[in-house]
Amino acid sequence: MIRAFIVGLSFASVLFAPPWLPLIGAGMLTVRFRAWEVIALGALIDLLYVPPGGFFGIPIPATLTAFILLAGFEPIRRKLLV
Amino acid sequence: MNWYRHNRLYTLVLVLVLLFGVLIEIQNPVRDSLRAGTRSVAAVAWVAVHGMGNTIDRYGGLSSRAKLATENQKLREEIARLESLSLHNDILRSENATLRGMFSLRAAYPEGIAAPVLSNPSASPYSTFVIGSGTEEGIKAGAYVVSAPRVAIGRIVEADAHTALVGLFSAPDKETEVMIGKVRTMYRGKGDGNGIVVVPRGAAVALGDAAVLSGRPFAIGFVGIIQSKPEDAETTVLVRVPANLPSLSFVYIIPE
Repeated sequence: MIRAFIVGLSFASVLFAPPWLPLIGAGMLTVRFRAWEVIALGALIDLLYVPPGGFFGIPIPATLTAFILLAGFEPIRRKLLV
Repeated sequence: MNWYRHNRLYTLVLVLVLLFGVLIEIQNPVRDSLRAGTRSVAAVAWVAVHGMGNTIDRYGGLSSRAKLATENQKLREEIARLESLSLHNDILRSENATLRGMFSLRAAYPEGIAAPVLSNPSASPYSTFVIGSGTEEGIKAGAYVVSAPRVAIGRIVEADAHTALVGLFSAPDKETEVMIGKVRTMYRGKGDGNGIVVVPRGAAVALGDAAVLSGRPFAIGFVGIIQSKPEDAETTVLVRVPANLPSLSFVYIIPE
């Protein structure tokens, strides 16, 4: 329930809120869950807003950030959330 | 074993993400369709929320049911004539006022096109925003995006059938050649509508001077703060966009 709420809020905030809000949502999700939907969140940001040529040369910065969050928090999820 | 399976899963996902990156980077019809479709769907949400926002503003925000009933009764008694105006007409009047402001731009640039702003510029982490006009309305990549007469805020970087993506000049690390007075220099964006230029110490630059695009009659900002130390050979100048970007509802598109 909470997960669905945070996912919904994060996706809505991609359209209407500053970028730090979906980032916080993604962080909360990936700390607690193996939330693959975070990658979809990053992909949505990139599909909507990233200019041709990417951002600082990176074509999909939000998607990569989402993957790094997801993979990076895996040890924390395993250790803290048994 | 579990660890091994998870590692393989992450590797597979990473490969898929990288393939997605290649798909986005290389010009191809799948990418164009995906982006156009995503923006079209998002446009429906943006337009719906703009409409709801106008409704809430029109009725003075959210109120309790009892308070609304009392207010409604008062309005019916005191301003019976105004009750004949529909909400739709009020919203159209508001949009009309904004578009009338664009009329002066129309007089200066008759070849231009007025376009509605769909997404909030502050919602994008890349200093971009989406407008509700595209190639079908005559928008092409490279066109200048103007918010006021002779003030350009960005350029069209990508155009779909009915939407287009605007890249702001103030995007982080984006460089644009400008003239401030007689000084030619590079404007480097810092995000949030700000950018800096570096000019030789002693250059004739004053507060309020316009940073004008080289070869174009558009200013992209005005000098806000001048920072100079006696030991430095250069002066750092902060240039601000003279537009409240989050409040933009319409922009004017002028072909390159």
